[in-house]
Amino acid sequence: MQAAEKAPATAVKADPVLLRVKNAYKHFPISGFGGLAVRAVDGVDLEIRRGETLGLVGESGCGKSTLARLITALLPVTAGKVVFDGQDITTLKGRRLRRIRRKMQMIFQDPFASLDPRMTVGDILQEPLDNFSIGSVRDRRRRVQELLRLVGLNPNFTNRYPHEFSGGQRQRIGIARALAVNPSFIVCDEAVSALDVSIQAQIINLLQDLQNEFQLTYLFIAHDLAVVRHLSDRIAVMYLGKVVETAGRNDIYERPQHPYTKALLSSIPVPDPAVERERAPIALKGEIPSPVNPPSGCRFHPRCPIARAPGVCSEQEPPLEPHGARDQVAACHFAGQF
Amino acid sequence: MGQILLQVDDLHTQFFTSRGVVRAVDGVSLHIDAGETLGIVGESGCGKTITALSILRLVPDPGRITAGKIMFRGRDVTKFDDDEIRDFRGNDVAMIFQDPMTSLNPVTKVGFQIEEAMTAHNRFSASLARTRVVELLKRVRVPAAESRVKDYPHQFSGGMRQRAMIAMGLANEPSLLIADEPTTALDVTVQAQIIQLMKQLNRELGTAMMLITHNMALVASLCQRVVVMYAGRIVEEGPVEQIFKSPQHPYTWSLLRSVPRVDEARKDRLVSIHGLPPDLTNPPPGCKFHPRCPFVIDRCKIDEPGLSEVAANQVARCWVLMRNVKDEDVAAAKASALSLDAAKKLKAEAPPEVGTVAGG
Amino acid sequence: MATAIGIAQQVDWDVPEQTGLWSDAWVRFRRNRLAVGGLAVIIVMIVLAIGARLPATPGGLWHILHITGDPVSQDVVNSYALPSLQHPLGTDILGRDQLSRILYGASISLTIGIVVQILILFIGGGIGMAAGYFGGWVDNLLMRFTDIMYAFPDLLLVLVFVAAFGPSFWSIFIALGLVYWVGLARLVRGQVLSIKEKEYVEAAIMTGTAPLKLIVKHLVPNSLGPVIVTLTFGIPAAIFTEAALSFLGIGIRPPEPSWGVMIEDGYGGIFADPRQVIFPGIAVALTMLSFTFVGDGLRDALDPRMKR
Ligand SMILES: Nc1ncnc2c1ncn2[C@@H]1O[C@H](COP(=O)(O)OP(=O)(O)OP(=O)(O)O)[C@@H](O)[C@H]1O
Ligand SMILES: Nc1ncnc2c1ncn2[C@@H]1O[C@H](COP(=O)(O)OP(=O)(O)O)[C@@H](O)[C@H]1O
Ligand code: SF4
Ligand code: SF4
Ligand SMILES: [Mg+2]
Ligand SMILES: [Mg+2]
Repeated sequence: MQAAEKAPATAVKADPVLLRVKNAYKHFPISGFGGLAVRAVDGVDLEIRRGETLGLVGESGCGKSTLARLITALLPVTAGKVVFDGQDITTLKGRRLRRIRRKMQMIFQDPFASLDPRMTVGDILQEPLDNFSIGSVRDRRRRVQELLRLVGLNPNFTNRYPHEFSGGQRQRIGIARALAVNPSFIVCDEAVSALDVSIQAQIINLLQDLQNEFQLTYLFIAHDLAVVRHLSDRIAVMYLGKVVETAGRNDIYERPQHPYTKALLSSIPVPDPAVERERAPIALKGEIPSPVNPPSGCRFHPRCPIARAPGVCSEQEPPLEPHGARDQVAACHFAGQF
Repeated sequence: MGQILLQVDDLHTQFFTSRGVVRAVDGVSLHIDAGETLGIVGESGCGKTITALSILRLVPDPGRITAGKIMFRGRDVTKFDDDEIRDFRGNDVAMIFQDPMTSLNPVTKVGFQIEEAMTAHNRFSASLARTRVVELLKRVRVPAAESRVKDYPHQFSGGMRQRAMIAMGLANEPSLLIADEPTTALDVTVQAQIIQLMKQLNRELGTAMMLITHNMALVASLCQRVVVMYAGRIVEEGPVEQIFKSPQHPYTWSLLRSVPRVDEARKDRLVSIHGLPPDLTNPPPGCKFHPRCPFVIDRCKIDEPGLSEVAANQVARCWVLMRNVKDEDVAAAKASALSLDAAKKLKAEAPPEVGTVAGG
Repeated sequence: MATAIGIAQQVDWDVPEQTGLWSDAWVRFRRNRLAVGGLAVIIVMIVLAIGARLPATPGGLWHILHITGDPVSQDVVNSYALPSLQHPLGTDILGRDQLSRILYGASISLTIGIVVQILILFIGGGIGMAAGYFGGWVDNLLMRFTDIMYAFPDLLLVLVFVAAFGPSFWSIFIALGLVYWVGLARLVRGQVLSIKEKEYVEAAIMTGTAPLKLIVKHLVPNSLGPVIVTLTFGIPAAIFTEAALSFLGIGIRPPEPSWGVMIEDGYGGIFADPRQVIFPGIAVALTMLSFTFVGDGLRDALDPRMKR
């Protein structure tokens, strides 16, 4: 399935890019340490095209969730722009910001924390409809039931509370809530990570079906690269607050250009004993440095197996430039040379 | 493979709760040879952890081993007295848990905790124990081991804590190491390092390992043999290669096809097992998997199949077996679809494009 | 086609009656016997208290119906009389009818207990909510102010306020409300700060929920439990504080008795007649217990996870 095929024919605007992140920063000041800050997102450029699924991977703490919250305007940016459907949403406030949420939704990581324990499922699903005054009250009730049915739950569950459901069922409720207002773009932050394998497969299939049915665009964040590869058209890799490589899902696996991508991919076990006997993971030296004080030059250099440091790698920050396949960019002075 | 190290026979472990009796482990028989790596897989709640805890006689209240034998080197663990069981834990069998932070004492130095694990068992003299600590930390590849022995657990990263746990598990040179989801809480890159470490330790020290996980890829990577559990029972068992190539139980088959592979371009859909695992206080009659099984036949709903040999060293608990399922049925099971009706209806009712935003 | 993602096969299109937190809470509350009992006692007390004040003659309706005497008529000959048909709970040192005094006292003490808690709820809850919700400099400002209020001895502050407003029934309410909101403000702020971090609040914002609605539908219901408990414990505290004020001569002035005044007065003659303390004491204890049951019942009723 190619992104081009999936793009809705009815798209009026010629711009194939739905969302652009332009040089976005998010620094969380550490109180009491004059000027020090956690540089959670530290200069990210990213494009998400209409109808595609962009996968976002990286180790924990590298800034994926923070980036998701910048894109959905749940957090204000420290600097930079997020342009959604031609509009810079970082400057929006109040009512105008809420209007954007009609088109942009989010599925959260923790199926137990993301539903208000004191609201019935009916109220949870009706809340977005109420907020945007969609239809009459009767219509809304019906739509709530349709939504439940759509995600594979009994439509008569409206009066139940979240604690009466299993993790997988709760995640479906979270998905139904995101779909309630008919968004065109959904951010899934570790939406399947907390689920058991068989339930995870149910949710992954559901997300794919919904995308085909409603021409949705997804930003799919996960640390499980296998799941990301399965769901995504393109994949972006983050390291310490920056995107270090972006490419099509097959290109990135077959021809990774950044050494971090290569190491990350090589470390994932495959459910096949024959392959596993041959696989040789690339061990990275040391641990992820602190995002308070990232290394100079290329921030991967202390762990990079091919770094020239001291030298260009520890002195100059490599820009994100085309390398390898068409549509592939990587931020490395020696991209592909390993 | 050599002699049998541990043999579990018809183990039953039950929890006596106010809701009824939870049959967490319901007639499990398995064995581990010396130096072997055995994987135990299954969905959460299927009894993997409780099986392991039963082997160590660490079943929490209100649970109890109600029947079965656990033979370790020919002696029955269920009949051990307090001294014997204390000796058995740690000395013969060690266990490492999912969350290293909860199993390490936060206010004691890591080195001292490992040392304590040794002195508690009188296997090594106090002075020997102290020198072994650094050696152990080096063996589990903690960098700068000499200086890090004096660190507290919170000064270690997640991966290093798990290494320290493994070091502690290995301190008394046990012949069996039980690892319960040892990498679930870790990042992929760290996970890869820990797998690598466990492989090497198994090879260098000949320690047998029992790896409990829901991650099929981990089993493929680390284990020689695998046991698949469902609702407190073993449903399939055999050599890893064989099980992955030709699973005979529908549950194993579905489990293997429910996870995407990073080394493959997208194939259509994942096989999803519909529904939920059964309530163990009130399991379904017949085959426990029948309410979720795509290949169910009438007999499955009444009679429970036994474990029967399906190939050399491979046993499965199923009336049908995957090799007897027709190709079109397999295809149908793979093609699970969204309720298109519901989707179309929802779209028809879709609200107009521009809605007014509720003020506030 | 089989719907393998587990769609409920049989769809029953009867739209179920929509319930919500409050209606469910009422159902759960009614199932809690202690809470319902407590509520009944409180309602009975309120009715009795109203009867003691309406019509506005001494002893009110109950005196007119000859159920009680009246709380002000003195009958010194009959001081410390034992219970009789005329004086069901006997009389006090001045020979005044005890039952009618207790019922009159109920009107004062219950009003103080309840109105002061409502004031505290609005002042403390409002300040705590604002501090927790807005954070930043608003939080800093409000919490420093709260700390300052906290630093003064409570009773001293009450005295200052009562002196400022002039001693009256209402000035005591306001003074108590103005002084005792501090604890609640801190509690609510803490609650709101932790709830604000929850993913479901983020999710509500994401679905376009406006700030006011966010507070009313998510923050308030989820922080209510401990608030209710604090308030119910505050009711007897307010009743006794009023008594202490009376003792200092700035509370409700005799001959109009409050329970606190009655207990304080009774202390003087506790050896002559312990009933002077026991009867109003029982009234206070019963009130406290009833409110505690109702409070616990409310808290549990508002938590859908509670299994009754
Ligand atoms: N509110 C905050 N205040 C301070 N630091 C923060 C805050 N939120 C996130 N961070 C820090 O920012 C960095 C990136 O966090 P983020 O949650 O985006 O990581 P992630 O890649 O999604 O990780 P995970 O997979 O563990 O969820 C981390 O170092 C984190 O500790
Ligand atoms: N302390 C306990 N009380 C009651 N039931 C328990 C307890 N611990 C585990 N169980 C039950 O035992 C079954 C198996 O649990 P466990 O072995 O922990 O599963 P797994 O490790 O496969 O995730 C589950 O149904 C679980 O609910
Ligand atoms: S720029 Fe240098 S250090 Fe950075 S990834 Fe490339 S080779 Fe490694
Ligand atoms: S016995 Fe029947 S229900 Fe059970 S797994 Fe085999 S085919 Fe499925
Ligand atoms: Mg995250
Ligand atoms: Mg477990």
